[in-house]
Amino acid sequence: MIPVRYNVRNLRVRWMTTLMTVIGTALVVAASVLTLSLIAGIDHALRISGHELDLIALRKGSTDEISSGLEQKVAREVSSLPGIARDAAGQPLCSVEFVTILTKPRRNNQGTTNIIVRGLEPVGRSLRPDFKITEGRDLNPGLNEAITSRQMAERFENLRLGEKLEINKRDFTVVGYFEASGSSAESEVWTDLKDVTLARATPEVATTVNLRAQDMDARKTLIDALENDKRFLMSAVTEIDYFKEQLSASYALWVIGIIIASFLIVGASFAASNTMFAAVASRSREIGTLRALGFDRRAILISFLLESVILCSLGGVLGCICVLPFSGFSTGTANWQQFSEITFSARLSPLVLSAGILLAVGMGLFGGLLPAIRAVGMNIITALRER
Amino acid sequence: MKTFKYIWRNVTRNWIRSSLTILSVGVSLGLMTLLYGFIASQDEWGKEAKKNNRIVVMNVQGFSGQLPIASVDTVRGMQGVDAAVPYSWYGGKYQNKEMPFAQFATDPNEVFNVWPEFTISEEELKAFKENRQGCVVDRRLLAKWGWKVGDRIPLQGTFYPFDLDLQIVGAFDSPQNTDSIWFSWSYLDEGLKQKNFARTGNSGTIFARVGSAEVMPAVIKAIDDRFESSDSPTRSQTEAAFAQMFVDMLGNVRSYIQSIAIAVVFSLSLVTANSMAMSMRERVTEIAVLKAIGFSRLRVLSMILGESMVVTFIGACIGFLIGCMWLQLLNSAIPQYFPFKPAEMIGPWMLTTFVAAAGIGLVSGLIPALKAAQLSVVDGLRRIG
Amino acid sequence: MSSGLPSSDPIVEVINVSKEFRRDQNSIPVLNNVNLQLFRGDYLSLMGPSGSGKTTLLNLLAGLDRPTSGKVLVCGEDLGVLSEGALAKWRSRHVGFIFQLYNLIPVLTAFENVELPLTLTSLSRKERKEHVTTALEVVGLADRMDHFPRQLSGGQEQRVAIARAIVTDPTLLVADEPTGDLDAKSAGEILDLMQRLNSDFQKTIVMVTHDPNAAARAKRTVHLEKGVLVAEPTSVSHSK
Repeated sequence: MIPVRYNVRNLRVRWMTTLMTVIGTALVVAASVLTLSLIAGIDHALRISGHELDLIALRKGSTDEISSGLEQKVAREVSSLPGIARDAAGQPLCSVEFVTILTKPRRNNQGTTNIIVRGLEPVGRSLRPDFKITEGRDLNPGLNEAITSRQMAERFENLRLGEKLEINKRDFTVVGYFEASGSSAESEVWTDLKDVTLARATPEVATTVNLRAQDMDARKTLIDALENDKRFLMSAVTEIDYFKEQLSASYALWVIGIIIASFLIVGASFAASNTMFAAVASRSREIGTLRALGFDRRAILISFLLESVILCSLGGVLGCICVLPFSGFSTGTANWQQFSEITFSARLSPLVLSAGILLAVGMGLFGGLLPAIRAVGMNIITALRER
Repeated sequence: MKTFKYIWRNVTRNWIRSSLTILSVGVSLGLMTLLYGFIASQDEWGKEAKKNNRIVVMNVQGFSGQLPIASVDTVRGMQGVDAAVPYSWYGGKYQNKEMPFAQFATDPNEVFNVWPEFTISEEELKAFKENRQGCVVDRRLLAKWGWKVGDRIPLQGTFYPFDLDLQIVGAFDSPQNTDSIWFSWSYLDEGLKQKNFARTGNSGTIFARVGSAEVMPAVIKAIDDRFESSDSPTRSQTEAAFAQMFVDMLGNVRSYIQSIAIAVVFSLSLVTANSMAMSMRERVTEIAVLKAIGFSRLRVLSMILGESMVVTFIGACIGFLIGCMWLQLLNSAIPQYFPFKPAEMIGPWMLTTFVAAAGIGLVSGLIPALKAAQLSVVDGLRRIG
Repeated sequence: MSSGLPSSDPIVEVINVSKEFRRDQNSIPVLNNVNLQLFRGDYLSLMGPSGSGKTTLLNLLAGLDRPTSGKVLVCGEDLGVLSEGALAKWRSRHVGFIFQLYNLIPVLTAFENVELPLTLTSLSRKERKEHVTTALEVVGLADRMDHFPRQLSGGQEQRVAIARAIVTDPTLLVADEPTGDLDAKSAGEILDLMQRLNSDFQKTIVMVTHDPNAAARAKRTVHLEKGVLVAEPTSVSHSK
């Protein structure tokens, strides 16, 4: 095999061309990786939100919280069902919640969108993954206070600490920011159950009961109990199933992301191909010499393919490094299921980054193939005579 | 023209390199065309909505609020309003597919007065009014699913605990593919009442048509004032503003598309510049000869810039075609996201691709061209020595 | 067509010209105080060993380069004061180039190569065509006008190059080793052609060459040695 050092030296000798190709590749890989990382962010937000023991109970026939409607009194009785997990204090992990949607302006005149406001009681916090207050404090019931995530505060008017959010002409003061492992809760504004139902002029109404089963067996029992008990007129689904529908939207996004990335990668691999053709053309005498020295066609083929792969991988690595600062960069997209917006952060997971590198390698192989074949197809005698 | 011939010969001289560069530009600008076409189709929606003097009335709390069916009559009776219908999103599953097309519960007697630009034959409209379970379908949707008048369309409710068993009684023609079917609001409401659904008598939203664009603001204000102190206060807006709300929901998609476009343009500039630089390196002597013969700097400069512009222009044409083909394809595959064919939204956005190509051609040709223009004839000629 | 100067006035005057090249900090003198005069219808061959400054002198005469000191006057015009752009324009009108390696543009046909300098003029397409055809007839290649350079032999290529050089009817033809890359037969043909251009068309020609046989065809020969013009020997010197 022809030593790799030979390829590296050659890339260095033609450093200008190499540099241009590497930067071009890097930009394309960066755009692809960023796209994939945003999709990974949505995917993560939806996935982490579903705990396998958690159940969401809605009014029978509703498939989302917005169209559900329950009597609070009835909803509270759910907590007396057997098989519900308990917290350290012995309280059942069963949260009665009210969800409503507000149309609010984004910051910087980016139009309006719907945001989810959730009224709930303290127990609801233990049902969210790693819920914690990161700034300010948690809300006090009865005072029309609200908390939200930092991303939401940055994206929407009236959601920063100390700012006031209007619900039906009542002002709710934002007193804290929370985090919940990037789950869908971070796309919501939280307030007290009673405060929000009063503001909405629908006291004693809830939309959702969120609860956690002790174990898988209890989960089954709870689903059956809610389904069959005439008192409730509810049906419960596991959170995993609940978010599955929204995840199907995220699969669609993966497909879109991959289409965009392949457009970019195919475009860039033609460019890589160009660089490699020039490399082959300028080295035809060398290729003749190598062949004369006894390297077979395969060695030449591999050598050029390798050079192309090295070239593009350099771009791939550079591209990945370029997007690292975007890690955690948060944005939002429409959640058509609930006509609201979900906020999520770009996730540069190892999977996404390796996909970026893999794309670059694929680009190198694809782009290098034709030039390498041309190098192999050269006649030794004419190649040696080239100047 | 003479010079153009020479430029063209230079483009085709190393055809592998030129085609690779053109393909690279073409594929990437194809993506850009597609993305900008998507934005344009969203904007077009808003523009389209401006043409018709329609008002959308919804609960002040948005989609989660309700509007009692009696409000429709109230709106209809208001001054300036020609027609009004309830318009409620059903969002059911068909053959187990989530939202395969849009389904709206509305008033068969009035709906074609609110959408006068939609046309239907009189017999079919009559059947629609008389058949409680009848529905009318956008003709393009009819063709897409291969339905015929008389077919039954069972829909499973997702928001509503009542499944519909509709029968197609007619097809309507509309300026754009609406991807919608319309059925009787009372059929849905009666079904919901049987199921003891908590929120019956809800018209969802109200679409109203007013006589002229001038009176729209006054009518909007009148409607909102009228319901101000009722149980269901309203928020009314023009159809254009309503459409804009959906466009707004796309949020950062716009800036995302812009950043992709920037990356593409930068990357292509490098790629094309690289290819031009490689060509120039091979042609140093030739350029020296041209200059010796008396070609001015400017002429040499513009010849090389011309060459890179020709390459990117061809790339842009290919990219534009690729992009439009995809838009056409997506329009027939998922009209809810791509409601317009490229031919239906001809506009300045289409120039984006070509402007980008011109920019790329200019930037990428500039350095090689300047180098060539600066080239010393004596040095250039010596190369062959 | 011709500029109608009385033949007693020199067409080219080189006055006290010196030329140095700078490499790093060192300056290397190439031409040293050269004086030379050329008259209408002159045919001068420039000889000398490698590195004597022949090509440099030729480049100065052709307006491709500027002297470090001294003056080059062509048709009374001082080339040293012209801007780069004006010089390019001047070359297109007054100088025809013949190179050792012909330097035809590979992507253009013989016809188009010859036409190239005419694209810088305001001539109409029809006039251009007439000029090109005439030039190609003069060099005897009218039947090859649609051939690309790679389809022609070396001698033919050089004849196309000569047609390109004369098509604008320049004041001065400069040739740098025009036969250097040709076999003896083709070289002979090229020299015949150049001699004909000089005698039949009164072209003023300066030719750099190594080949004493080629030099012998010129009306007079000058020698350059280490940047200095050695006394103009008479035509006898070629026998050496």
